[in-house]
Amino acid sequence: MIYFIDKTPFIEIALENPFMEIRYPEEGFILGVVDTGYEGFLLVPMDIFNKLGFNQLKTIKRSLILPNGEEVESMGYYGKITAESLGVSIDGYIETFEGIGEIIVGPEVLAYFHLALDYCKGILSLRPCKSSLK
Amino acid sequence: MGIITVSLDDDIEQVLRTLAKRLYGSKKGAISKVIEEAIKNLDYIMKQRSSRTIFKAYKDNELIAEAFSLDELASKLKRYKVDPRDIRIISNINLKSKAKMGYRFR
Repeated sequence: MIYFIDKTPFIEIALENPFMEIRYPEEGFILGVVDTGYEGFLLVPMDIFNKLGFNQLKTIKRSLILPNGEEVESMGYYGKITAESLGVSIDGYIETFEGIGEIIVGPEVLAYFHLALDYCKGILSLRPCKSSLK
Repeated sequence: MGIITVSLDDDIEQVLRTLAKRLYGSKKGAISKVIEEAIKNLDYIMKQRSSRTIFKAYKDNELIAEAFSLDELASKLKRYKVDPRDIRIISNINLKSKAKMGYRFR
């Protein structure tokens, strides 16, 4: 399910660490904001990253460039996001850094969908584009 | 058109000749056609494989398991009784060493 909140598109998702069999949230879903300006898969707040147990694993680090040009070091691990209403699960690199307050869904997730945003009619639609998705 | 001399084991040569006869009869160039088909198929399979995401689990630089999905990899590690805390995962997903964060962070 995808919808606008104050003209910003949000997707209902659940996150998973398959290696430790941890799901976040344990039941239901959480909202992730769609941001095509973020060049990645998924960015999550540090507390969610830790609840998923990724901080206990051998994380991979990289640099993220902030809007002001400043660079920060993020840490991440491979995890899974599920959009249950669409019957879709996607594997990718989930990362975090101190100060992130929301879940950001990047183009590496959106690459698996037909995404249509019609601001004139206030309509948003999202459907999987690859039959190989689980 | 190139001419290539190859050497095959007797049993493989026999398979090749049987396939050529079955698919193209006694036509001239039947063996070349079978080889062309085989190469095209192999090329297709390799391209398909290279375009699929692969996850590999390493422990102390030793490859422990690989899979096309994290679920499959996690299940293999569980089966091998490997603690996920001890492994490092790499993937063919293009992970930029430096990426833009976007404009949500203030």
